[in-house]
Amino acid sequence: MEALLRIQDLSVRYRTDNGAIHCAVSGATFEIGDGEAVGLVGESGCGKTSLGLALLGLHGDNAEVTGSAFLAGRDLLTLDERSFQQIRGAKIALISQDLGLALSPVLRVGDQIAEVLHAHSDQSWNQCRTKAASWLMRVGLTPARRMFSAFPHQLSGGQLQRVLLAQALICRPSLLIADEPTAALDVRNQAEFVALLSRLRAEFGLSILLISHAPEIQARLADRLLVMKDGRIIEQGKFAQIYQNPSHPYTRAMLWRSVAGRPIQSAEHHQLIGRESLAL
Amino acid sequence: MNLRYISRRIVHSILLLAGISFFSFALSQLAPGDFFDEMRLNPRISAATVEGLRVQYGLDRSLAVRYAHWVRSALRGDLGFSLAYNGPVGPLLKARARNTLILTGTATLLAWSLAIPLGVWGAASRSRWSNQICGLATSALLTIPDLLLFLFLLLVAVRTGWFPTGGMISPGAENAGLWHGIADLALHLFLPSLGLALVTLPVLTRHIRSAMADALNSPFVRAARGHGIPRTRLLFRYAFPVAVNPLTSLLGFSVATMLSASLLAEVILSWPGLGPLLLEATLAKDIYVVVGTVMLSAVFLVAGNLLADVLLFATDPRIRVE
Amino acid sequence: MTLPHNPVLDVRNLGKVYVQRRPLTREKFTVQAFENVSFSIERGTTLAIVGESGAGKSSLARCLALLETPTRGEIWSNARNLLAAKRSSLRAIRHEVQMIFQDPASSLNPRFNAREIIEEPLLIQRIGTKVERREQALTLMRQVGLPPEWESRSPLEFSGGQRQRLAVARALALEPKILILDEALSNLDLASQEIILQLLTDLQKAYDLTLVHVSHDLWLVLQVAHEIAVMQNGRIIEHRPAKELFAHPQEAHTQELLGAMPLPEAILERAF
Repeated sequence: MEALLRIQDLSVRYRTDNGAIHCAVSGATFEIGDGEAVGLVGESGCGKTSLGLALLGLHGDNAEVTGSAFLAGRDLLTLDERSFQQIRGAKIALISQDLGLALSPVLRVGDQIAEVLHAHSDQSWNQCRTKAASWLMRVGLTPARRMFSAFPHQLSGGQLQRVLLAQALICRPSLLIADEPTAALDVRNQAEFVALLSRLRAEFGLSILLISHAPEIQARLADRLLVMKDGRIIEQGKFAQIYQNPSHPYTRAMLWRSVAGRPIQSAEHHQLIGRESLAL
Repeated sequence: MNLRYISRRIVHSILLLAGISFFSFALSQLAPGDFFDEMRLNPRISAATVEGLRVQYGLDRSLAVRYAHWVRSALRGDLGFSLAYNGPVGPLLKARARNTLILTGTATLLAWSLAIPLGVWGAASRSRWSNQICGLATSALLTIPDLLLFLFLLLVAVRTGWFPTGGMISPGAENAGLWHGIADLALHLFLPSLGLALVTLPVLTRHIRSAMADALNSPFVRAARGHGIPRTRLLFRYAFPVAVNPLTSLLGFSVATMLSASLLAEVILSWPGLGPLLLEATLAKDIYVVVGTVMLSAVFLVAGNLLADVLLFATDPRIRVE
Repeated sequence: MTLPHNPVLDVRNLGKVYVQRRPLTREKFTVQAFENVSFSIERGTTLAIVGESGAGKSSLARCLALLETPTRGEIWSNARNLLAAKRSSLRAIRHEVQMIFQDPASSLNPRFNAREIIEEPLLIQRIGTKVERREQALTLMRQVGLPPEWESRSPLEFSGGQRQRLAVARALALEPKILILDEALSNLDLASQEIILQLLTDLQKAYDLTLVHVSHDLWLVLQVAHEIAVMQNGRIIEHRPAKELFAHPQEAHTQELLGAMPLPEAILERAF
């Protein structure tokens, strides 16, 4: 079966102010299948975000992208701005951790969701607004009427993240790139968001590229995992396999909150006090 | 907007205006001499006559007494007595103020109608040369002294004959019918308002351009771009409404600066507004006219700021809806 | 293991109310950040303050760091009520409490290089000569695991984890007794978190440093805390030794927090 997204030897190089070339992503090769959720872990600043941005043509003028990224047979990296604009939001959607910063402060939240649909379909503005309202209910923001006319500064972090999710999914994209979507949320909101995403994924057969440093989030959502170090993918495979048997010490460091050379088990937490025991 | 807020603002404004009235009154007394200086130089008028006139007009009284009388007169609507025009200041100011408002109103409209498209284009266009041209043009306009600019416009009027060289309406225009009257006014209005607009244009354009550029670079515009929102919609539905926020305060200020620039325009292009009146009165030491004009400008300024606040309240939901 | 009773900080009945004004009418309205907070921290231990967003953790942390003034209550340290102290005497002990913030990108001035950032507190307090300050800065860099050769680099060139290490170095410059970390590790990958946690533990052992972690990440907190205080709606609903809290959480809210994000192995077990 042809994979939804096929990345081959993708590299992203940035030219910094003093002329030096910084390689953010180096020779990445992997696939994402239909309806599959693939996690991406790695040190902060190692290129995970650049990868997501490159797939949508959002990487900025001082970056050079080489390699290929086939989405349903079409190489994304050969597209011009106009074609990218048609893909963004419609075939591939991106949400990140910025929450309140990702929405216009002077437009109502419901309208901002409707805008995304309006940009990609021929429906009338009113039709788009109706769809947006139904999406607000889908992501659990009720009462829909009040939420629709709210402004971003009136909503909490958890609510904002749901709005961003509605924006991302309203055009039914095939791939969602989620860049640290829960980093700014507290535990309860994180859990709710993960449950919501899981449900929507099942409902729409959505593929997800999940960038998150929290192994708990990856465990709940990711089928397969990619481990990135210094721009290179050093390990990939099924999540469970990698978690239980990581081949690189780096991977261990990224995934395990460790004690005595292995990941903490929930059953033993009550025997632990501070770091003294952990240093065994 | 509620009653409490409005009444607070009104009280503040009244206190402010009262303060301004006192200071301008006191300061205008600092200039040595008085209205009758010219008369004193005339050898045929005796010193006793001049003294008599001074007493008659109350110019020999103390500052406090004169201020008290002036306040009383102001509340009556007279705003004191013009020694030169031999009548109350109030009605004198009314006609002139109207003319100044017509001029500055038109100039403000013109300036903003030009500055907004220029500023938006400057921020949205990504080509280097457009940025250079915009910067160069605004710098050029900024460095040209206002005086020169108005004189140049006057020159244009004189040389080409397309525009009248002064005044507000042609003689006989009142009788010629409505459209003809409006066309006549527009013809007279064109050069002074263009000059005024050009004088304030560079600063406005730069502010608008930088507010738009900031808005275009903000995270939410980038996020919207990431959702595939097309460029023109990004510009007008996302960036512009946010850029407008700092601009509303600018509107209040531009009204104020427009007033001081209009003085020069009116004097050089002979527009019968407050400018020439103020100049004349200052030179002649017709103090009550001076104070009255200053007060009127202060009223315009306060009104301008109030307008800016109301606009801000109306356009920014972060302030309006908490 | 029992420690002698030696509280470095004794907080009594602390409360903080923010008074704000509505935008145009200027009507006052109040927001209660937290109230009735009382606890004491033993020297050389780690206290974790956990809770949801909006529970008041950050406000509390800022009050402990003396960055804000509580509206009620007392903070006792060294037999002295810090909140009643005169400004001049307070200035002398302010350096004893240092804070590390969540976002290293915005709390480190990008116009300074690494060495200047660490030296700044020394400079402000007029400690040492220029040479001595540089020596101290380089020593601190080594201590937090940053190569001293990086002294002229801008913080922008550092990764997230390295920036937080820089922030720790700066905080240590004035030899504080208490270090407060306000969600300082939330944005970092696990490996960086691990490195910094180990660093802090070493420092704690070496200098008898007291640590206060404000965090919503319970698993992080588990790795380091001796005691945990759970906040909800501005109040501390549970405050117990970490071991007990995890084994037998009493409050429903605590149980909810613990159950919300299970460890991967628990999730994986369920899946099979």
